Amino acid sequence: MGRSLYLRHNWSLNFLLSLFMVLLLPACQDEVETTYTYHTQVPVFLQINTFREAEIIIEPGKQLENPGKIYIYGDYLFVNEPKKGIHIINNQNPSNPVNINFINVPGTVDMAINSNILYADSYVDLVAFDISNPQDIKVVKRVEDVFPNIYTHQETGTFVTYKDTVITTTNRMMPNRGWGNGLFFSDAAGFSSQRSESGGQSYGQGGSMARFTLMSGHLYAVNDYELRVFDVQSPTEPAYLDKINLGWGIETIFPFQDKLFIGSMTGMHIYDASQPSSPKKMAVYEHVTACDPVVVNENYAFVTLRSGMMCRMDVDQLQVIDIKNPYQPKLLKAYPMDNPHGLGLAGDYLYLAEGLHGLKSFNVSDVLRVSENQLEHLKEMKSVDIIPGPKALIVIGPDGVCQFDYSNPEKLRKLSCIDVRNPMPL
Amino acid sequence: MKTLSAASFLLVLLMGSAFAQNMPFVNQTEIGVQRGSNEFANRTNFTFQTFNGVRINPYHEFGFFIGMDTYPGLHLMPLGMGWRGILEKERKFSPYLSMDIGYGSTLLEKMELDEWNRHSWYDGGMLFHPSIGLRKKTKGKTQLSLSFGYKFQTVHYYEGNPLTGSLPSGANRTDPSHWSYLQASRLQFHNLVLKMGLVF
Repeated sequence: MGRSLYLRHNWSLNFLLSLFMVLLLPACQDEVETTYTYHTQVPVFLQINTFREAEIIIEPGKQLENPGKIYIYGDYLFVNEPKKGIHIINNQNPSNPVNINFINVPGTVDMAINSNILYADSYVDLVAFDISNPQDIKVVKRVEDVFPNIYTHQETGTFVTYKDTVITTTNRMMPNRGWGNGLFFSDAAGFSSQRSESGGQSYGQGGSMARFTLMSGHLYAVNDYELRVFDVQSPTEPAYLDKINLGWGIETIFPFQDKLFIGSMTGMHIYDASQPSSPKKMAVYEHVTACDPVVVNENYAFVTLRSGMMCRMDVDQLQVIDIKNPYQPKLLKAYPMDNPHGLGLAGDYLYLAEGLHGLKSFNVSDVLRVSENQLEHLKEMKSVDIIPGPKALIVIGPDGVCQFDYSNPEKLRKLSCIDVRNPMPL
Repeated sequence: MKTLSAASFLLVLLMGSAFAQNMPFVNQTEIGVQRGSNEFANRTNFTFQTFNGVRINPYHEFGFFIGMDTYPGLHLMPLGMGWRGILEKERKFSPYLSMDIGYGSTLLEKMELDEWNRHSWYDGGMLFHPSIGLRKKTKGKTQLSLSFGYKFQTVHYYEGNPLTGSLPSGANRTDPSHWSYLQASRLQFHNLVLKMGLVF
């Protein structure tokens, strides 16, 4: 009796086991679902005539969305909204900046101001605005086809621009780790996140990351591989003169005492602009491939190299370059940094934007002991560029534009911050 | 998810000692193999698990489990809650059913970086593991166990290049806005599991 019960139980067990296997075995193939999200840029073809014919509209002041470069002129701040236009901010009181209006300039990337005339690019053209009364801004001149490199077909006025896009796809293939996955290395940073630049005379002042600059009655504009020269001795009549080929990866331009310091991804170009209409190459200081804004004083150039998607090499440094002989620049010393972006020089004080790592200040009177003379490190103040303005130190960060009192250079005091709607990713 | 795993681990310890006050403590420690396949190949992996719980009556045991599963290129630490139902208590061989539900933690895995600044890492996922088995009495208090079951395990694998040199500290690393590209894969492992163990 006991044995038969035992057997019966064994049977039921076998039955259960078989059922289990029948139910589950077919399901025993591993599954995978992969979602690829990548930032890329899609080409958009446009006709320049649609922009030339449309009147440039001055809109009431609006919130900063994704600000690019900043330019200081008199009591005003001009903040570029890449590809969209320029905000004008009354900065009479740096503790309380007031957004007054917005110039709608499609396709603009950079700007410069000369004797109340604002120059801004609009896709392939250069447009000049009279800003002597910021409440009543007028277009005074449009120089056509001076930035022709984005034309795909100049005869019909068709050009291409790229729109940042995020694309998501999903598939059910087994992913292979390693080499097979790198199909979509692309980068959105190239066009949209370039930033600000500086001048003399009655020019305004920009940051260390600008692509437009004014010097000796001439406007200099760099794009990826060229320097373009405009004669602006008559401010309302900018005239295109010439272009100079610079090689690839050109990023920023900084003027100092008849010289142009041009930062590229491979080094720093020094041009003699004592003949403003035809700058002559003096030297190219080469370094590893990295992103590198430049600021300069009489004897030294300060260059930052940083790592990042577009910047290739994994170097984060502040380099001090001796330029006493501008024909033979030489590296004096390199200091390790966290992730340096733009920088600003005010006398013996250097302010350095460390990206997400904050803002640093140094006394650089002894260029061989910069890191020992670090004054402050404001870790919370995320920053990408710095302009030492006449009233305040202007710090551009992913979350907005802040101003600091730097009358005591060793102790910055925050005056105000203008928030932005879409903080840029850093 | 890491905090969750750590919390459940703590719970295992706490509950284990609390329950044991008035109900008999049960431990079942098992090792075994688990087998699965994908469209290219089969895989056979090692599995280890220890279940700590209480016998609430002669037929039911409840507790927590922790273990280690090796998948190709990946070590998971399963954590969770389990139940054992004993069908036939008095015999030499007593059949039982078990159900484990929990989370496969990637506590033992680290984010990897290659020379192209490509970041890759695993995140854990849910696990579900029913099985059926036999327990055999021995001369002492200890029983031997043999079980056969199915284990479902989800794991997430990510690979991407940050938009800037590095991922901002404190950022949610699975948020695509920090990445130039981000490949997010959800893997579902279906395993047949054969385990041997000791129960006391």
